[in-house]
Amino acid sequence: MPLPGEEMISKRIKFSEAERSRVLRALQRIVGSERATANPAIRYGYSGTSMVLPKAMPDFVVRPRNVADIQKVLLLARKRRIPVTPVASGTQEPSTYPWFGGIVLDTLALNRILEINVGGAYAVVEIGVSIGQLAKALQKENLRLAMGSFPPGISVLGNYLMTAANSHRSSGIMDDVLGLEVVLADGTVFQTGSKAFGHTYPALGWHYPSNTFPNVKNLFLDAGGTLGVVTKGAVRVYQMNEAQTLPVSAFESYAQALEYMKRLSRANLVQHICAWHWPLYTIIDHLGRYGRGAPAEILLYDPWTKPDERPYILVVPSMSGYREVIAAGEQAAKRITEELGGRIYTEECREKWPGAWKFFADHYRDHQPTNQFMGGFGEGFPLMPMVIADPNRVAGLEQWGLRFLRKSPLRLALSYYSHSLDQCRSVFLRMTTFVSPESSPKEIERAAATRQKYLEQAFRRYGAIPVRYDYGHPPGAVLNKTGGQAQVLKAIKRALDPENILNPGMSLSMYGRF
Amino acid sequence: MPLSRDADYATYLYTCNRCRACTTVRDRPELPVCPSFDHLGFFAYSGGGKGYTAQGVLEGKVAPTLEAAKVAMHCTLCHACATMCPPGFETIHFIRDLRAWLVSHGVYANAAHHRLLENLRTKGNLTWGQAPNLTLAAESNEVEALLFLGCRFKLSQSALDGVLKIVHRAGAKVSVLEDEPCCGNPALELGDPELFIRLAEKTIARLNAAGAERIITLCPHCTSTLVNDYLEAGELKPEVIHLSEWIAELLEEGRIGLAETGPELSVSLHDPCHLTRYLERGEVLRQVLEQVPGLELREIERSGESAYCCGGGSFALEVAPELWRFASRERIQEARATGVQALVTACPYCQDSLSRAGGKRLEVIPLADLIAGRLD
Ligand SMILES: Cc1cc2nc3c(=O)[nH]c(=O)nc-3n(C[C@H](O)[C@H](O)[C@H](O)COP(=O)(O)OP(=O)(O)OC[C@H]3O[C@@H](n4cnc5c(N)ncnc54)[C@H](O)[C@@H]3O)c2cc1C
Ligand code: SF4
Ligand code: SF4
Repeated sequence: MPLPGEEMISKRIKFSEAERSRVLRALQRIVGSERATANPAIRYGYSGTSMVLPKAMPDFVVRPRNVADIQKVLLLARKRRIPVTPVASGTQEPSTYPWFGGIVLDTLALNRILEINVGGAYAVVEIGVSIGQLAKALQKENLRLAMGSFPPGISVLGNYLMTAANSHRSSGIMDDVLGLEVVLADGTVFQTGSKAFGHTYPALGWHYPSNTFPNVKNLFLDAGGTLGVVTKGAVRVYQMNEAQTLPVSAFESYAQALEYMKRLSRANLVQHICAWHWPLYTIIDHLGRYGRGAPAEILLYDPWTKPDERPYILVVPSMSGYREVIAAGEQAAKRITEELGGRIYTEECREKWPGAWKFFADHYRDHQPTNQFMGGFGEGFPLMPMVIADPNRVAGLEQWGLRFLRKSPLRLALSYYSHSLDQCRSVFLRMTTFVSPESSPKEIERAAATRQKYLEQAFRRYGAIPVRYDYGHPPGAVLNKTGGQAQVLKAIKRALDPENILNPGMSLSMYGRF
Repeated sequence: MPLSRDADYATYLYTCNRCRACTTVRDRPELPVCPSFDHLGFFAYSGGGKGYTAQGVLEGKVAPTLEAAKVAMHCTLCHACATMCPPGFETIHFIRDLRAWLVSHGVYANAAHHRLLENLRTKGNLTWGQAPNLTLAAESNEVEALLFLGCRFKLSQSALDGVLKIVHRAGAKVSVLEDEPCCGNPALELGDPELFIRLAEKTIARLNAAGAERIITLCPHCTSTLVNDYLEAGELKPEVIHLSEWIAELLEEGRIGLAETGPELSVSLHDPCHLTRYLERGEVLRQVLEQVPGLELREIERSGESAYCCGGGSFALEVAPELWRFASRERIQEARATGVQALVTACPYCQDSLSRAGGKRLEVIPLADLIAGRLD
């Protein structure tokens, strides 16, 4: 079976040398000679990620300085029917692979924090602003971002736009984006939510995600750059309350942990709550203590056979509020933990797993992201089947998933984390597995096929929705399962981008042929 | 090791997750630390990005061309990327190997790149001057250490004045090699690793034969080359320390003393990449400065392992002049923002780079000169 992407690469756009130079010159006229390039030594850096997929080189890379540059680049691309793949941080996501060649639009240079609206509890940022950059700026105002396990260098909007894949943030709110500014393929620029009225009344702010009309913003969430280029957006920020706490609970089964997450988030006691499987918190602890690498015995364990008395799973809720409320919340957390057969483990976690504790505290109590987690990625290629599951069926999925992956070639560092979404109406489950960097192409193919099989079975047997539609699935296969919605989305895509220049690789995976 | 797909390389090159932690100060993404990426902004200019370029070479997608050389040489080899990368990728190795691959195909970034390497190949040094005529202890059995000057110090006798004053005041018996050879670092950095091995082998033989138990290098580039890179070339018997470490030792042992009062002076410290990041020995600079009466040290925001390079590393002045101009200005600006009267450094390359960029706006003082001027 060919690896996903190979077919698309074979159909990439072809330029004659003369055309290539003409396009390059035109791009350089728009953004300046240092910001548009056809140099292969630069282009290769935009041809993919560490994922085990074939690389796809763009023909040009452009670094626009502002919205006007983006408009002009899109108009040029539209006129010449050149694919444009927008990239924010460009991490991990095959949806940024320029499968059909063309232009990669590296939007990181748009990196200004435009507004921190303390009264309105939101921040307006350009697409290139990083999570760490914004977190530091917010800290000065005693504010914080909704925080996940991401590294500080990635784009706030790049992450927040992907509500499904990267929603590891709030237990109560699925979507932290209040409004967006978007450039369409025809160069039209517009804003969404209350800010849309800014077109007529410029003083209007970004505070309200709707404007009493159908919510256009949501079209651009999870769109993978197929409908328009996002240039800025307003995101929710939260106050750092007088008390922040992380009472850690230990359980011996995922089912118990899940019930605990459900009870706490349904009662609105937590801002975020996440369950960490023992091999994962063991690795994070190691990374926190020693900086990098993970010992071989952790990489090749049996996920059911713990080496000692360490808890099977730790649940880390992030609580924030007035001191009295938090004290009561901690009491409630203790009682519920014990009712469910678990135990409060905060002090032991601090003592026995100081490296893991540091990570939890940095991210979920102090809300300052670190790179600690990232150290582990040197061990191999992460292949992370991620799903959003039905809370009634996810415990079965966990048991089945571990058994399934344990038998597969993806055994390396098999572990997971899982967190509550939307007050636990949905549950995110990310099983993490690696293949070794020394794997042969055959092993890699087998690994990719296994990941795909996991996703399909999780979907069919456990009602778990795969969060990335960008590779592995046959073109349009996931969207087509949605029936009428597929027709609507394809019609929107056709209307907004009739030449299909916007991320056509992702468009093909997402919408299929349309 | 040449660029390859074997296990070591696979780990370096194929698991970079593009987190770009290598471009900014650890957990401070608002503070750039990679001058190359800061200057031109395409991912390929970061440490991780150069790894992707190297992958492109292995995949047959990047050819040995001037365009590729511009990317590979647009880097001061400041080691910030290797220091910051969370999985600890040895970015410096693959940047050097990328350069070696280009040079092995006869591709150079510019005429200066070619000329520097040709000088090394034909004359064994950068032809930046002869060793100054030093009258130091000559008999090997009397000397406590051998001073290894390095090419930049060979440029002028006056650059050595401060060092010599310290030597004399300490009553130290030190020697220098007659017609001192090159340590080989330029060959490694400019892309000729075989030449490096040849130069290093010769220099190791000369240094071992000199009979000193210790080598004091005046330039941190030589220090890190002798300490780290010579492991590939042979066995260097004497212990190797940098001048600043020796000064700290002389002060501690009371062999030199500092005047109890001295003119009030506020300074910032510019950490040399080779001392602070390659060797992780930068703290010694602070230890020395803290002892100087009348001196106030105000740290630059990016300092220690997070220091922003002066722009002069890896011969950028000659090989990537625009990068040098950009980075050195940035560093001078940052130092000036502390409001100090002078900037201290302990590396002749940083000294050269920063004093050219600082001009009359900020005085740049070598650590040895500062100490020599304050001896009691
Ligand atoms: C090692 C590692 C671990 C991580 N772990 C986590 C984690 O645990 N939890 C988590 O939430 N995140 C995690 N992340 C971050 C996550 O990978 C990114 O947030 C995610 O890839 C999306 O952000 P991005 O900026 O990289 O987007 P990109 O990868 O650049 O783009 C994502 C999609 O959006 C499109 N796009 C990009 N820019 C624009 C634009 N301007 N307009 C329109 N569309 C655009 C792209 O075409 C693509 O389809 C991790 C990242 C790394 C490197
Ligand atoms: S080299 Fe290291 S720090 Fe840089 S992008 Fe790659 S993994 Fe991240
Ligand atoms: S060595 Fe320095 S200049 Fe070169 S890529 Fe690394 S951080 Fe950037």
